[in-house]
Amino acid sequence: MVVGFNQPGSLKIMAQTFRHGDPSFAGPLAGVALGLDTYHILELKEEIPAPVWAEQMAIYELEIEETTIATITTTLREARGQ
Amino acid sequence: MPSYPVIKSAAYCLAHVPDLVRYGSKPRRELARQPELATKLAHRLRSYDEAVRYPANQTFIGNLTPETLAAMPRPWFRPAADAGATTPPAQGPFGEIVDQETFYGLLRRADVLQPPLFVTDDKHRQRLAARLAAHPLLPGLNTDSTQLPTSPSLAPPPSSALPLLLGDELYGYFLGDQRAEGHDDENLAAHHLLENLCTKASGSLALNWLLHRAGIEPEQIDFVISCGEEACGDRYQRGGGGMAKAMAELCGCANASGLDIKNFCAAPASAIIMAAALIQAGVHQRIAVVGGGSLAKLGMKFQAFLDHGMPILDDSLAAMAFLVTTDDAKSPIIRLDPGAVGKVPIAASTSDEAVFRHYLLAPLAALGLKLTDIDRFAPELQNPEITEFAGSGDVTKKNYRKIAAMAVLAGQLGKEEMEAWISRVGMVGFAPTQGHIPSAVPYLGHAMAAMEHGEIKRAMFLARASIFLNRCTSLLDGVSFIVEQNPGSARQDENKRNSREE
Amino acid sequence: MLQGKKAIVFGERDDISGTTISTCLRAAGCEILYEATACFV
Repeated sequence: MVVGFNQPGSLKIMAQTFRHGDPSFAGPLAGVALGLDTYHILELKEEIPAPVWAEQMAIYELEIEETTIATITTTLREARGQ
Repeated sequence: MPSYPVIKSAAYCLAHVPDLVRYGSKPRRELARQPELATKLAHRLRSYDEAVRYPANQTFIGNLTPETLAAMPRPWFRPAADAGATTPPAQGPFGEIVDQETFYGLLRRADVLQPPLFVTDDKHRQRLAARLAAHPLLPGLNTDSTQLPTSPSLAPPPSSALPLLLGDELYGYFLGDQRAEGHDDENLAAHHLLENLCTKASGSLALNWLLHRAGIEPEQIDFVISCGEEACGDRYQRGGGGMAKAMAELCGCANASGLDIKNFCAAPASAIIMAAALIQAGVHQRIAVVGGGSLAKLGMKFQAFLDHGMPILDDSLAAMAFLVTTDDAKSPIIRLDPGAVGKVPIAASTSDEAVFRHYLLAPLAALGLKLTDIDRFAPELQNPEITEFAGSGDVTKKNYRKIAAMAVLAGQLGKEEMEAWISRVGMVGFAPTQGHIPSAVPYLGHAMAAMEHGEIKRAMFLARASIFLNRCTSLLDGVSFIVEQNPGSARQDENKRNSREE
Repeated sequence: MLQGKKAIVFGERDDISGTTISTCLRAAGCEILYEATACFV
């Protein structure tokens, strides 16, 4: 899963849902553990060719506060059990 | 000396309708699945007094400026213990906040069908007539109501009828189309017709206020453009339209024709541009652009409010109206120079960078302006108190961060200057989360006031539309326009200054 | 390394859109199985 939501609170729930099933036990993924890891696109900078990254993502690197980017990374690393 | 189309007036109204929240799209679906939620929802509905006091609502109708609102401590829905005991006025310079019973009167008046869709008994019809008669701007209930059969009591409604409540009191019912051809047309079901009639009723209120603010007779309007997101029509023409003329008819705009513009959330911006273009081309002289409220969006975030133990803040229908006319040498002008109106071409990627490059940077470049020549930017202006509790963060702030990021990428701003610049050119969101309503134009009334007082010269309005929601495309749209102090008025200011110096 | 990997992409209109994410991932050799962009407001 690769997502582009920038709210750490929502990301945590999403990552848990895609891995273990819906934590609120409601909805189609209630009790369904897909076992999928969730990444935020901002975590994948090293994997993306530099010119493409510059064109597509430069605006977000400026828009999103550095502290938020750090929180996003920590939240999803934790969710992946890393 | 070139002449420009001008924005001569603006009006903004809210209708506080807590007992219609259940008919918003999300509540309707969730309450059908979990009926026990109804009691919880009911306990979280605000009173009219609370809705009037709510600072974001006061800003929407012009009693507070966005700057004043920004300085007020959050949460706005729970005012500080030392806040004033008196309720601020329900009327403001831009319009008013009407209560639910008044809105039911507007709804009844907007329902022109016989037999009506909104059925009440005589006692309630009289109450509605009294509420409307007491309102300074609104003509009373149907003058031909004597031709309707009297109904001392309500007949048992069809099972598909929607009860219309006022607290615990059953006020009446809203029906689907009762004609033979209407019975199995899902487009004419009660909840669709209620949604459309709510748009008509709220939009007409805003149009009435616009006429009042501008001091003109309804007969002086040539054309009306509706910019809501409702779908009016039946099985063969689901989105045929006709809302503009329905609202204009209700307001007595006897000389106007009209049409509906569809562009999702960006429709108000698109409609204002179209109106300005028609004025500039000399096709019409005075055009009203009207956006009625969206019942479907009420209570969209009700679950988040319940989870956080908050009142349900998306409980009011919002409506707005704008008067676009020929140049009067004093009202703010809309720039229609080649390239000045922002668009996002189909070939553009849907990345934010591409969208902002097209509808933010390109129009400024076309006018020979820099981002720093704009005194205020008005992007999506959703109330952050609603969006943050719903988990979406502060949408308005995000948009300003994107605009500032583009300024940095365009070499017009230093990265370290972003926050300071945003606090100069930005504002806090204050509009209800109601689709087309918060999309840039809630600031127009405030911009006009600020220009009149010489506080700002130029404001840029940026609207985006998620047209991919129509499931026919993956595109989105962006529309922008620039409003400036009228050169005529600037000359008048200069002349005054010069004559004082002599 | 994303080369040859498969991804499901979810974006949000006011955060980062799905098309932006997919453009980046495809440039890295990733296959996109499904992409959606939400509009939460």
